[in-house]
Amino acid sequence: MLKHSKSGPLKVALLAISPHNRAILEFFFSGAGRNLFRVVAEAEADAFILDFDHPDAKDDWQKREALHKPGVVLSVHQAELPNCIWIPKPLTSRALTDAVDRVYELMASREVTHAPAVQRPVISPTVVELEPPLVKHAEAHFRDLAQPFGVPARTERSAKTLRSLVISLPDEDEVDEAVVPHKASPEPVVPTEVFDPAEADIPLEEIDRPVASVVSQEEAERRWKALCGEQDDVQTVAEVALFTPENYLLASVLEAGRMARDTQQTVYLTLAPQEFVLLMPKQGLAYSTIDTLSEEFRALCNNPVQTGQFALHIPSATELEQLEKQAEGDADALLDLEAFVWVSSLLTARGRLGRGVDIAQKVSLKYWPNLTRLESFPHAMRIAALWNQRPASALDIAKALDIPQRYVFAFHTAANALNLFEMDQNKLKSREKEMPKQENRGFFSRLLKRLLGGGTK
Amino acid sequence: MSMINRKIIFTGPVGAGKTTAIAAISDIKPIATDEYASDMTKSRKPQTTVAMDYGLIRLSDNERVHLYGTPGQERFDFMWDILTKGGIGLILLLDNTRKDPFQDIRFYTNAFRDFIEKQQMVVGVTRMDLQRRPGLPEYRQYLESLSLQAPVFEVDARSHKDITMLLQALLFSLDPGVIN
Ligand SMILES: Nc1nc2c(ncn2[C@@H]2O[C@H](COP(=O)(O)OP(=O)(O)OP(=O)(O)O)[C@@H](O)[C@H]2O)c(=O)[nH]1
Ligand SMILES: [Mg+2]
Repeated sequence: MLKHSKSGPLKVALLAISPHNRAILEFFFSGAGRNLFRVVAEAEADAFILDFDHPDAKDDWQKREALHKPGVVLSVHQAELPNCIWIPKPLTSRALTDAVDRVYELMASREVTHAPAVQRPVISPTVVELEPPLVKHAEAHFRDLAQPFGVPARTERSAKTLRSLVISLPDEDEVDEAVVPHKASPEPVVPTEVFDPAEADIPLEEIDRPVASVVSQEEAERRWKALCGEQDDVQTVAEVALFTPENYLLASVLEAGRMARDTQQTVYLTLAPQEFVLLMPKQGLAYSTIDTLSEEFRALCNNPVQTGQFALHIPSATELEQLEKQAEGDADALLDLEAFVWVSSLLTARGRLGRGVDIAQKVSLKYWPNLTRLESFPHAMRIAALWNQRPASALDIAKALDIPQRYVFAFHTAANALNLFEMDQNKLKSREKEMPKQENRGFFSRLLKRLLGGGTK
Repeated sequence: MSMINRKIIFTGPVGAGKTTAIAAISDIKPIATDEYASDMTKSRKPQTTVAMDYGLIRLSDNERVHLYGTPGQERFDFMWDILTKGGIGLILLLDNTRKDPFQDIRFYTNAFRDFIEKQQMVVGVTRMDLQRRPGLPEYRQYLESLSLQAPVFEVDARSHKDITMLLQALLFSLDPGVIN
């Protein structure tokens, strides 16, 4: 990644520089750039680095111009100053690496006109070749520190010690001898302490986060039954409970959804006299005058329909203006467009599969549903993850995860209504991912429990 | 008893909600870049400089999850190489009100490409309460056009529940067999 400089570390002194940029440079100097730059006292420096966006920078530079030492100017806007090279922000490791050569070039060009000549340190080419890539170097460096993650005692802090937060977690398992830096050459003084903030003497204030639970377990379970049904598992494909979408409101919702998507216009769907839903594709929102959490909406989804019960149309401009005004004034009734289709599907299917679905067919989840804004039910996240990982039938998924089939059927119907599956059998194979590593399973489970518990440990 | 440390990296453009998201799930009050930096500019006194955000979840006495937020203001590609070492996954936060969030996707997924390939990324789109477009379908398609497969959720970085969901998606994506 980083190319090697042909020369030894460039001795630099930092002038006016913001703490933020100082931290970045220190990080670079102590890691990938440690063979390129060495921070030294001003008198010893071959060059200065200054942050031209810093208010003191111009002053600092003017005072040193007479020294005829090159400057490395960091700034957002191009800066053209005599005897300086400019590095634009944002800083990159490449630009910093290149800067070394450019500074040496500057010094060399001055040698011609000014005496005495600057001694340019040279590392023999063989040594350069032997050296591992710089990033490896940096990693080895972190491993080699006597106290990589503890802050050295206060007495060890000298005035020239610069501090920055640099983190590299211990990985005892892989100490690669090949990347340990050459011990023969004296270690450059790296003016950076490396520590883990968790162990640092920065006050780490504990947060007390109360467990937030709005609905009771009982309420939640009642809702899951409404969304996913209560059927027991079946043994064969023939026993899977089916429903006919055409007999329900769902068919109209899906049609309205399609129309909205294709035309990118708001679609009006009548739910009952005076009641309606607006599907607004541009905003990705739905406005339903009947609360999707209500018993009324549940019944509406569950009951078979009479023909013509749910008319839909694209409102005229004037009608739309009126409707949008109504929706704006009733923000609580707005929900994510996909969330509306999702919940309508679930309430209709109640853990059954739509007639016409090939139950044994393997499919794969192409896109994850937006689970933060959709009504959730048990195992939805795991089902999504596994189905995203490999093509499988609904029965395969239930078996692999060892969960009740009705949750998988529910997911299938709802995700299908949102067109989230890859059905094309030719494309399935390429979507298959590697089998997951299970090495972290215990750790992940504990983290999940902790996250779902919500509160402090 | 050996210590088990894992890292989760939060990245994304300026103001996308990295600091806020870490704060939403950390056990400790996160150390934020901004605070320390601005403090120091005022006083110009040398003190600890923080080049990134840091939060922590302590699972037990010997198990920790470290949460790192990359600074949003500059490109720190050299930092990222080291930062991601030992990381289990990347949370990419995008600000939906930015001029071109898709360009942000390109930039960050490119910068972390090797890591994403080896581990897993999840994407959270913030500030959708302020601006609805682009919507999630566009994000999904854009990621697909880059041959990236990742969960994409609308999130509010201030919401513990939303950020928890991103982490769940990350963990289940890494191993759907995890039991909760
Ligand atoms: N309205 C709204 N505000 C949000 C949302 N997510 C985060 N914010 C706010 O956005 C602001 C910026 O969030 P930060 O966490 O500071 O962003 P950051 O990514 O750390 O930014 P940098 O450190 O500058 O890179 C904060 O005031 C958050 O409260 C959201 O979904 N909606
Ligand atoms: Mg921040």
